[in-house]
Amino acid sequence: MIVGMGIDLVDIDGFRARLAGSPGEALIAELFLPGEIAYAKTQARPWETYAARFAAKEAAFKALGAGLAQGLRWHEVEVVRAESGAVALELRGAARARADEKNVGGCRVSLSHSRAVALAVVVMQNEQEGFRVSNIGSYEQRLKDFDWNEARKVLDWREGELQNIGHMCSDRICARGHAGKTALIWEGFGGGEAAYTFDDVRVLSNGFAGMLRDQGVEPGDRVCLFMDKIPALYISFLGVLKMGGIAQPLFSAFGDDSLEVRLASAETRAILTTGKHVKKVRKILDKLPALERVIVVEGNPDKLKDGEVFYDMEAGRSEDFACFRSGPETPSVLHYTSGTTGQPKGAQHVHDSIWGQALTAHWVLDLRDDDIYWCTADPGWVTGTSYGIIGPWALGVTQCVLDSGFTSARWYQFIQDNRITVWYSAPTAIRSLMRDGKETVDKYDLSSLRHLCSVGEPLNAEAVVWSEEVFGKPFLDTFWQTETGAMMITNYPGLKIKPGSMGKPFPGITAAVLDLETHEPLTEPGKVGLIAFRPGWPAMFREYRNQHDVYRSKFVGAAPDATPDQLRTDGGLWYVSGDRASIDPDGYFWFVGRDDDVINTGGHLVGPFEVESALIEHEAIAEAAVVGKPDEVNMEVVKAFVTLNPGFDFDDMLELDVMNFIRKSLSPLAMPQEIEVMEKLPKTRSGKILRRYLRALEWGEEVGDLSTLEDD
Amino acid sequence: MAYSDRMRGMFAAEIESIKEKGLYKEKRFICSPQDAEIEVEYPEGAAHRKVLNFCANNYLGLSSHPDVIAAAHAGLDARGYGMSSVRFICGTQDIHRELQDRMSAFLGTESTLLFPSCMDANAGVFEAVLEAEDVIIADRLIHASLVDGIRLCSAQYDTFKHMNMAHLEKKLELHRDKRTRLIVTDGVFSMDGDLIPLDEVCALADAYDAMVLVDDSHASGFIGKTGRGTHEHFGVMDKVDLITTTFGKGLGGASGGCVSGRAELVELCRQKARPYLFSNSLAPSIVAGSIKVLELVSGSTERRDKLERNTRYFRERITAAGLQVGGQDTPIVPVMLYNAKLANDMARDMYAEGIYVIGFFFPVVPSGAARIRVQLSAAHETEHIDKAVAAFRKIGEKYGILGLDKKGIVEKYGL
Amino acid sequence: MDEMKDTILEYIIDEYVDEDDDLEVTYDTPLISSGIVDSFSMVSLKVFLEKKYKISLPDSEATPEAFDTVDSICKLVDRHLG
Repeated sequence: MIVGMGIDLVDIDGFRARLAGSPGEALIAELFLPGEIAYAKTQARPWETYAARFAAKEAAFKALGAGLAQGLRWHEVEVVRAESGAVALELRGAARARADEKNVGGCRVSLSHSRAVALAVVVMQNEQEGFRVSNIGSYEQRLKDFDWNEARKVLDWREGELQNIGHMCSDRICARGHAGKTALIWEGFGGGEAAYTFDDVRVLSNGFAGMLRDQGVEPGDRVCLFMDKIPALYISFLGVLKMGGIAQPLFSAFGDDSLEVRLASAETRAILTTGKHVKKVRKILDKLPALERVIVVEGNPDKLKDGEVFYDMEAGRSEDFACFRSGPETPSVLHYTSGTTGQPKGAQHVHDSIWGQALTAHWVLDLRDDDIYWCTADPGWVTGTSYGIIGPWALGVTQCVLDSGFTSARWYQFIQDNRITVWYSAPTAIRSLMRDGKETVDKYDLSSLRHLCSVGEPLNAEAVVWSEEVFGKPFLDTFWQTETGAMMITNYPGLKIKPGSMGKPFPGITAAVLDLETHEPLTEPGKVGLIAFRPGWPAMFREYRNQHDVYRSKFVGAAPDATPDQLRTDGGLWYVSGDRASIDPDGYFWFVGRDDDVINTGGHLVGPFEVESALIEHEAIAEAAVVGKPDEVNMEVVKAFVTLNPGFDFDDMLELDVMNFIRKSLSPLAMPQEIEVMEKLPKTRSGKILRRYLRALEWGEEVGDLSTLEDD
Repeated sequence: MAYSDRMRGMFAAEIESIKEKGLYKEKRFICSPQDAEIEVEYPEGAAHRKVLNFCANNYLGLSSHPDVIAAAHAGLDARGYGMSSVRFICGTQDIHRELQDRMSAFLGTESTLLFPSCMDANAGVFEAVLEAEDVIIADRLIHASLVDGIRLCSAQYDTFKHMNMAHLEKKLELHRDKRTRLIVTDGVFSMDGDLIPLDEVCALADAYDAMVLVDDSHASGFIGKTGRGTHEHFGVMDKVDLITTTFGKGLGGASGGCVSGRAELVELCRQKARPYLFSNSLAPSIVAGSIKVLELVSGSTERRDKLERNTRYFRERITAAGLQVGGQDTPIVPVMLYNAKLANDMARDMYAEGIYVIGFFFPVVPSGAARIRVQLSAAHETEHIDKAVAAFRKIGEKYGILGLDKKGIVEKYGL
Repeated sequence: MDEMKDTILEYIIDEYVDEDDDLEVTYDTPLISSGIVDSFSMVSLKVFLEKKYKISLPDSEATPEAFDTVDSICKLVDRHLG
């Protein structure tokens, strides 16, 4: 195709003119406007002197490597040196790479006359090597004239189609010709393996749907899914949605108390579980008058008690099921989230959320037809449904599920065996991987990985830098919550990454940080305020089940009697996430801390994230949790709980070393007054550090709802 | 505007280069009175830490002595807060005269003149007393404030090898043709802790018709049988022509210095010395405190005796532990480490062990002669010294330098 | 020129090197930058040169750079001779 090199910015039109009539023209026109060019790789036909020859050399583009896979824009690459036989290209913000000598023989690259920035513009012809333009292309471009119909375009949606998540994630994919494509690759404890096509998923979920209906479950009823990450969990989720029920997935590790609270609150009608977990259900059954059906989907049918039903997923395959005619506002999924005080809250989502989940999966996770995707989250948690079921399957993408305990070796093996290309994980896991170091990584072939994202907690800069070193690409941090249903502020392929930053608002999302007192959007860069969003995005939760007041309290400026619908559609309100952040002059958001986690020491506000990030940069420290502890003089002072990397002893000398080290990046006011070493930090099942637990211990207070604590 | 971004960047770059060379001075904050045990905030923002102080000039332990504090309080009450005047206009109180007289009695001199500090005394004395026809012959390792003062004055100057009497004699001979010769030296040298052989210096001064000036800042109050200084120690009390010393070290530690000696020379200072003429008078509370200090040290040798015992004890134990020390029988004990990074690292580890000391390296001491300078105090008890020695032993072992001589350490760590 | 070098070298060793120091000083040993001669003690060397060679060295030329080695000192003196 066409290759251009050494083209200066002003010559873009000339370049485009030369492209006229060539196969690349349409692609380029679609991708960018003058001044913005996305990258791609080429097997070029000679077009212009040395530029063409250069471009034809594959190794030179191996050198662009990570940058290309992320669709780096032209001005992010600088040719810093050209010698015959080798070209060094510096990717601003990404790793420096060097072309292989033997592959780039005798070609010279001229540096552009201005600013020594040479544009390597290569238009895609051959996609074999896996270097492609990202789905999003240019983030800035996407912001212009955005509307949520983009999502419909991506799914190739026609007016009048049935908007039901279960249907869209199985039947629809089959109808579009992908029935035989692998939907789910599963590995479990003890080496169990299974694989399912989209057709399998379709007929098996039909079976669940039909069975539930036969059992008397009706549209709008809550159906709890209480099992390990087995295939039945993923498939029954779709089945529940297909019959119009509300899926309520819960972590299988919950004890009976936690289970009871959530089932009572939701007045759950039916529960699908396994022989392994049914005992917990039995314990609380008589306290749950609404729970009429207990359905066991795995285990020994002979061990069931009276009233319990056994359902064999395989045996229940069903070609036909008349899917419930849900609409955009039909309730779909109910996720429970813990607050600092009081009972867990049920965030109610609707079928309309699929647009948010599909588009973010397409643009942020960059999922494509041929990707093998792995989301490590359990569907008991919103990430595991939004991006562990709905996002990928709405796009018809193959995904893998690993149901086994965490070890870095097991995880890397999984990636290697399945040639996983896109990986969506969490900071707590990444930090554990960091602890096991590069030596472990090097034992495996992880070359299939092309894109990494992270969710759950803000991702410390150190982890971003480490993953770039060790995997060749950084983890992209994505910020969102149970309540938001889909990603809200995130990083993007092609957008420069600032390690430690949340990224920028997703197109269609209006985000701001509000002044802590006045609740007006802050205009000064760097000033810390409350993260807030204009309500009304498709994946936004519609209410907290039976807690209207609490729902209303999340909206700044809401009238005391406003209904959820009014709140959601009032463009003048702000939804506050309960976190604090600042925005830098380039528009990047920087997380400071949960509202409740921010420490007020002697009148100065200190965000735990900053202090924790500084601590873990020290080689001795693996993880850190920073909270306030009581102090006579200052009311609160900063205290850090840390876990150590192997081989370190926390004596006075190490402590002083750590303090001096962090002093370089922290202001004196943020310095911890005490550092306490722990074996491990208290975390939720979803891997988030439970700071409030540590804080409560320090203050001798009630610890509140501990049901999500890992060691329950 | 003068301080543009460009200028700011320029100066910031210089600070950056100081950091890169490893010469950056960190901030440490003492959050308690100065004493053998202090509370330190280091690094800035960290929780306060109680450590034992082995790097203060608080030789006699008077820096926070209750009697001295009480006397200063009384001085505030009786004579107010500040003079708001240079001495010669309306800044001299009766207590200034009293302090000067008492100091002359203590040092055994004809006259004394107070200055805001010994730094100022050193800056002013040469210019006030000497002319272009005179020559100053100074020991090469005299204190920086003396160097500055010598450079400020119009007289010529020359130097002799550190404490080398033969070389001094050579210079005295060389400069026979000058109007006067003034030999300048420290009494106790602050980096090495050694004493100038003042008796030999005075003998040479006699022989070559020269005057002698001694900066006794690290000696006043405790060197010599009754603590009067180096000249007492060497039995040449009436042979030294000028003494400059400070009230900011052993003698209380607050502020203030003086020139003391032959009446005419001191009077010339009072008439001509620029720091005297242009700097604010010493505050009444400090003058009152200093008078009390002199009373305490004149009345009894208890403190300087204890300091001497502490010094001896420390030197014995630290040498027994296998560390190299320099200097002579003074409370300044340099623990020789030669390598700058080693000195820095060890000082930092000592701090973690609860002993506050600082590493000294170029340019404060010659390159390749880095050290940790330990300073003993009468405020130290035996257990404090034991702790310090134990810490040195532990850290010395950590770095594997116990029992090594200079060659051994240099082999291991380089210079 | 050689005689001058030797004379100056001899003076430097005499004036700045201690008898018990096993320090080797040659024509190109960096004197100032190695700390053998510092800016304070440099004055004796200046006075010696002025006296010995009957020249006058202005302060602006009597810099640490000019005085750093015997070689550079010789060059400086040479410039001021006749």
